[in-house]
Amino acid sequence: MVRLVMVAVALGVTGCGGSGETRGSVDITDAYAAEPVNDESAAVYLDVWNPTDAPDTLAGATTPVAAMAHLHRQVGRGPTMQMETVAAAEVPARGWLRLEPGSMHLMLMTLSPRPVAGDTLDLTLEFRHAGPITIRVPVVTYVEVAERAAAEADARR
Amino acid sequence: MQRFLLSIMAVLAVACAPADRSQTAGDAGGNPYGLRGRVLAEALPMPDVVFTDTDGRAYDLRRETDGYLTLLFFGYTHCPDVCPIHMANIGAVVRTLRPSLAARIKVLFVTTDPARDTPARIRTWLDNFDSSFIGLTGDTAAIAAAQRALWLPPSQLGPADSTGNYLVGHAAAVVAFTPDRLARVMYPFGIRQADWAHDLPKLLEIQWSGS
Repeated sequence: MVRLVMVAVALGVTGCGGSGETRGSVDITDAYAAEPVNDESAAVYLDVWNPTDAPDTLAGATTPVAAMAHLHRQVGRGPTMQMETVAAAEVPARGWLRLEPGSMHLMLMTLSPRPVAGDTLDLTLEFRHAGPITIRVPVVTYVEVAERAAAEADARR
Repeated sequence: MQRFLLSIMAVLAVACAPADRSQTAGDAGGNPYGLRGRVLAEALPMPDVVFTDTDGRAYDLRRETDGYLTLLFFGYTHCPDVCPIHMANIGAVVRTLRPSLAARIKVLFVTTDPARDTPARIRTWLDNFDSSFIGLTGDTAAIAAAQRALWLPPSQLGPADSTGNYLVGHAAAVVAFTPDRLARVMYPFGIRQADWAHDLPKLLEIQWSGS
């Protein structure tokens, strides 16, 4: 029952009912991948809700279509966009980790086959406490990435 | 499925650059033109720089942009999300404009990563967004001079990872020049298709006071 309530809260906050995936003790919502412009890399965005009283950590990701995945985070705030690669990202207790354009994303590297818009890819996220969670991630164009990010930002206002 | 771990890298934060002049736009007394972008307190001239386009030809910024609404962006083709999102947004909106209006707009992409961004690579990358976009490269001094002339923070290469890949820090804003070749408005990351659709026609209509 508690789990169901938490899922409802998560979906309510993102305003995106039906797209949530629940495994273990974190919920993944609003996952999508940007259609890559070449076979080198593709960015994945998603939100993680941690309903527990203990912080968790996103510590890795794997997918059959990429040789590796890096976690990229924006360095600081200001007029310069500078990303850095980080090993892990914390999901706060009763809080969100948001991977969204301009702040953080998973970068899938060395793609084979190269996903195209309309595809769905399997992505396994590794959490220190919740363990591995596999989700299905739709691939969308960059035009749609931008619109989705804007809609999510509006929904949180 | 084979498992791979996230690579671990120590990354040094890139030193902060001089403030983006668009930050001062608010000091000019708001936005008298009703634009979604940030109007510069002081218009800036088009940098006097000659780049190389994706056909390998010399591209004199001042000469080529005379009479056009020019959107100028500094980025790189390995850029994870800021660059493709800006380009995709602008491309999507430009294609919805009346052809007579679209013909008066030039979109320039200047690489901040000339070592990896060959003209052919830039061309292929830009064609994902719009084949009319103009891709430019040059030596690092020319690219730095153009950024400096616009009071943009200089781009900076990040450290390479184990595969030799690296990220590049660069200004997040698109600079809009009116047909008189003056930079008037900055569009930070986060600007949307609806904002471009709103502003692009206005940028060609506004009677700008002063320079």
